[in-house]
Amino acid sequence: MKLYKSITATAILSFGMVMTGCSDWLDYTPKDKQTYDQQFATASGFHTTVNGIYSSIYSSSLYGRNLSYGAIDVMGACYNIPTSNTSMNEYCSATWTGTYASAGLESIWSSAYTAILNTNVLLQALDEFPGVLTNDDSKLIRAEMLAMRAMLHLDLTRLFSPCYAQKPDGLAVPYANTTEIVRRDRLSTAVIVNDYIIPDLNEAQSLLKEVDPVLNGSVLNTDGEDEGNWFRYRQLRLNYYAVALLKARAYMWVNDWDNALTEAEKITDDPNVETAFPWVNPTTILGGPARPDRVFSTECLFGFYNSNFSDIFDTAFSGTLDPATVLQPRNAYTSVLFANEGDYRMQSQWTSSVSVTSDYDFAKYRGFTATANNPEFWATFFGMMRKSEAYFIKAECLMKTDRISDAVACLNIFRSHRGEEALSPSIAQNALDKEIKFEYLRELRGEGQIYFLHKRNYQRFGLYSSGVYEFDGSGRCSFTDSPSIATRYNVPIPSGENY
Amino acid sequence: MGSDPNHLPDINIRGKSSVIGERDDLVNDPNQPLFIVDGFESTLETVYNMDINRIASMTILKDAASTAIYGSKAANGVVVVETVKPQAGKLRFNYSGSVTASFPDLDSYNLMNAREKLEFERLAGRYSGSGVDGEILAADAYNKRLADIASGVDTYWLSVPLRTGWNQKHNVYVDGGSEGFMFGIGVNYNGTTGVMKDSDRDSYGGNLDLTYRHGKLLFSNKFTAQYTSTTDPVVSFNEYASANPYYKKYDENGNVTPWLENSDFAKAANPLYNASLNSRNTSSTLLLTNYFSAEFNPIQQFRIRAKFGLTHSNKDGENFISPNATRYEGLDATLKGEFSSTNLKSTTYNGSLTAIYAEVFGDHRLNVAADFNIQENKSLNQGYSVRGFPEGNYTYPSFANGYPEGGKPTYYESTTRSTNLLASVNYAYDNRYLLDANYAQSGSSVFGSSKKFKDTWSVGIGWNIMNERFFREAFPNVSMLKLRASIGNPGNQGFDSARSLIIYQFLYNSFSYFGNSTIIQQFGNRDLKWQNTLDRNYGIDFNTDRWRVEFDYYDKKTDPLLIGISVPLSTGITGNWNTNMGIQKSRGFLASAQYYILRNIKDRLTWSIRATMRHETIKLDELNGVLDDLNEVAKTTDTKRYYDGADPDAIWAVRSAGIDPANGREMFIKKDGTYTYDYDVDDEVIVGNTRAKYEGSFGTSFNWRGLTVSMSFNYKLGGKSFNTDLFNKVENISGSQLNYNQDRRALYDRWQKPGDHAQFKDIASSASTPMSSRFVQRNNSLTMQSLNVSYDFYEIARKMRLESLRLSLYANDLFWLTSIKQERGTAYPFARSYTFAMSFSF
Repeated sequence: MKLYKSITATAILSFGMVMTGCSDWLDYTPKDKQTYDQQFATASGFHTTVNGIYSSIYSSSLYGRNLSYGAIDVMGACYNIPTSNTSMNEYCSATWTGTYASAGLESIWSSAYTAILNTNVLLQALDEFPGVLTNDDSKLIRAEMLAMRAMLHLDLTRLFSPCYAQKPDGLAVPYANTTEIVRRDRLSTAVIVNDYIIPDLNEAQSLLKEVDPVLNGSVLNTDGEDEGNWFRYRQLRLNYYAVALLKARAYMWVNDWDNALTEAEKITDDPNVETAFPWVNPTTILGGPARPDRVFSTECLFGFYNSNFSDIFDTAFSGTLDPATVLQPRNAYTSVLFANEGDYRMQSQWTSSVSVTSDYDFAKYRGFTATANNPEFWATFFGMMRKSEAYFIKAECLMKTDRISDAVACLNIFRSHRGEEALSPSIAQNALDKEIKFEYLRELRGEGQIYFLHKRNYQRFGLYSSGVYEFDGSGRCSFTDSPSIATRYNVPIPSGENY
Repeated sequence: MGSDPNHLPDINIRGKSSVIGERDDLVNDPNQPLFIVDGFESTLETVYNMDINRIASMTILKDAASTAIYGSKAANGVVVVETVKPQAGKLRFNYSGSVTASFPDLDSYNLMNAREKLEFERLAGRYSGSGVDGEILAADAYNKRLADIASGVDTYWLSVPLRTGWNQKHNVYVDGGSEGFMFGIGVNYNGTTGVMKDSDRDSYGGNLDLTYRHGKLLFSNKFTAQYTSTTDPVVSFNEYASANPYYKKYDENGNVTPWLENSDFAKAANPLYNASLNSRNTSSTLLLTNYFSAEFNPIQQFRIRAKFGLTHSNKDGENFISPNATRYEGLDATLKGEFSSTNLKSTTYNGSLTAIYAEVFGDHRLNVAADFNIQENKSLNQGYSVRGFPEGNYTYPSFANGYPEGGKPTYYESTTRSTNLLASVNYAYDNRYLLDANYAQSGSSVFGSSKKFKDTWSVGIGWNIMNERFFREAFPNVSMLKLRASIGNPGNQGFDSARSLIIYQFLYNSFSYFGNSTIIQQFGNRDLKWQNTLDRNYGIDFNTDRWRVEFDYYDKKTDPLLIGISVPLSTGITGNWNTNMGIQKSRGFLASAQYYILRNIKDRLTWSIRATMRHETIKLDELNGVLDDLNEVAKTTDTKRYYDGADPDAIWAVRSAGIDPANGREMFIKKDGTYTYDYDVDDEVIVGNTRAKYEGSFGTSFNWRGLTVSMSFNYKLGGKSFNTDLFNKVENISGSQLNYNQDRRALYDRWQKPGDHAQFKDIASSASTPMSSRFVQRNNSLTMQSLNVSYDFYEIARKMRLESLRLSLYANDLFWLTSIKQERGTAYPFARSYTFAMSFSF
């Protein structure tokens, strides 16, 4: 019997060893591929993944074109698009089911959600691989990735949801906050903003408050010594102030003026902002400097690195391009936009055009020959969020809550840094409203915000009208346009979503 | 694939268990059975290459009870091959050899001759031209062709690349030894020249078998080495088939020119020219296998066996396209010519330890076995291509200008590991009541990291009625009557190992102040589960001295399936997503019967006929609409749909009422039965099924003394098929397709003028017709697969002091009758073959 017992014991023991051994042995990871487990075994793996996500959202299907100076600004009627420009015309005529527009919208949608999936996998990895990163690094990445997820969802929401004032319970988009591959329902605008986007941004904000180096008063746009660049170049990352602006945008979208004001003031009223993001120095833009800072880079809360920056002007805006592809406003547009020719933006962001259809080219993204040794930061910088928008939001919120003189005071601070005269504190509300909207048009062109401005206000606009905006008493553009704004502001979600 | 000597057939034993399994290069067909050679897992290629004389037995296992011991990979059935073992005794010399001649079979082709083709082109409006210049150009081209035809040009391109194919096989095996030590040494050669020129396969091999017995220990080792080199035609058969018959093969001086025509009107490359260049497409494979086994038999009832197997194969492929090939016309010299190299290495280790205990206690017979098996299969696929070659005999990569722009070498590794722990019990009472039970725990690296193990089990029971006394007394002539039933859940492993992983890739074009970037290249499903098949089988075996009958009914349920579905874009996934979804139920029967018309053992005279039949139904369920997107896309391109409750092999199409004689337009039948000219995909219904209702084989065999004559036929009944030839080569010939030769029916069976009762649309119309039931035809077929005559020379052999001598003659693929007129073998033609074979031993 003793023999049997020992045989049984040996059998059980070896069975157990075999099974545990097998389990490890079966966990095979291929050497020619970088798998999830390998990727997140090191801090540099986390870092390259973060870089990859920032880099992927700057692809031409997202902020590299479609959601900055491309499709979205065409939808916002920033340009005069002839019918011969087949790939862009469908966006300005709101032909959403057309070949180009439907493909473009689908690529925005799918690229954004692919970036969100990447973000969610990274967030999951932060939980599944604790201890790989230092505490601060881990917090910083989590915060930026939550902000990333919220930002992408917010822009999809603003693109695909109906105007909130018209239809507060209208359907926006699904919110993907896990790596699960499941069908998610579209959420209403109020729900996605208040219950998903804002909470993600809140968490990001409180984490960034602890660890973001930008709070020490510098964006650190120089190479680090031994410590590397990971905690530097904060303008290229979703930092504390960028998150505040995102929150303000989100609240604006659901017409929550009080909260939007609070967030905007975290930028306008923080003395650290003037240290870290100072108003543009006029000498870098006026009087024809060799390497002008046309994007007013110092004021940008967030933007992208673009090593081929000068290509943007050469391939999209230059008057030497084929009229069927160039992005230009109609002739004499700038004379309406800039009544004051001394406006810094008129002086630095517009150059006279050789084209026959328009007198000015939009030159915000015109490059220059950078110095070889120590190139200017702005030579490769594409700004996407700026502190001026916080002043617009603050002014609008004050105006909406009947604090006209405070609103004017706020806007005047901004105007003083643009070579514009101050507005009178006794200005009529509708005139102030028009001025705020005009500042959006002057300031944020090329950054994808103008369509959202129009849509948020459910505002009509004319494509070929003599003025840019002739606001009537209700604050709306008096021109009727075709197709109707109901069509313009109701963009269908891509067919690939409704499987 | 026709009779291409370098192409392996697709095999499935009893219905498919994966519906939408994609097939990728490195991985076996998910519907392929498992191959076991001498107890080791092997490949279709090894079995296909094996000399028939080295095979001692081949068994096909179908139901769950018999496949269970092979564990999780056996869902598609198992083919068990045992090779011959050396025999003790004095030295024996065995030779077998054969010579085969193959002749291309072009009966299924129905292409136009020169006059017909030109007439068809004229009616289709190819020569109407547009504008004055166009009309002149077209008229010139027409007149030139007409003049050529008048001068007798009518090239039959199909026969141009063909020849008589030859195959010879020689196999020598020497074995002998004493009871303690036995050996066998063999060498073999198998050389084939295919029916297409430049299509060859040569294979040389050797094997060494050793067996050593010492007391209670038995060792045996089998080693084989096989080297195979292949050459494939550079120009596919298709290109010859599509060349127009009104072109001459050679110019006036008898030279092969690059272009059959290269004018403003038309451009046609000469396939003969491209084939005459120094382009080549070759491969060589070295396959080494070693199987070792040691057995310890301490007492009669108990045995322990350890096995270790190693298989290594290395395949090198080289493909060179001459810079003179017509495809490079107009390109820069640095881009002409291309060399690509591929290398596929695969190594498999397999080890197993088995303990078997067998005992008989009176009427009870018990057999208990435990087995543990581990296996690793590693394959590595590498390749690169270079371009830009000088003209002349510079065909090696060292002469290349460089890599294609942005070209990268390929490197793809795939490793699968599996383990299998098995326990099995067989019990028989009085040889009347039988019970089999198996349980296996299989692990595999193929599936998601959270689902590594799977349990497979099976239970089978049997009742040998013929051993019951009452039956034996009542029917003494019945030598076997057995009822069987089994149930089990074999698994299936033919899927890529990397599919469950999340894989990152570097973005090389994106550097910033922060260094490298990576993003997800593939988002694998970590929760991917095994396909689970529940297989039930009920069978009966019945034998008398005249009859052998076997009948099996089976019911197979695969739940869940592993399928690639498209998911909403908001998941972040743009391609297919592999997941477990839905179930497939298939049921059917297999019947086989053999009847001896003559059976006279004394005179060694037998004559038997035999037939088999297979029938199956398949149904999908619980997909819950996840494949609707796929169905939607397929509506314009395919006839397959995947719906709950529907058969995945059903043909979906809009019903057609034929061509309206008045105007040549097609009339469709709407769902409500009304007629319309307007095609609407929503009117589609099931119009047939691609799977034959009944299929099988029948044959006869006659033996008299040493003479054997046998014939075998295959048949298929009750299936339908969408005739792509009719659709592409008769009905939908676009303007650019007029540049190629077409099916004769495009000229004779298309509508030309009002009143024509035609099967196909207006000959002048090049608009594309949607898929409709008009192209769905019955697909019944009868193939004579082989005819075999052989003779064993017993007396003469004895006189010549030979142990045996056998001569045989057989013919394969003699004829093919079918109800659907469709070309077969477009890339490589089918061939009829005749073989003479001889074997002897002394």
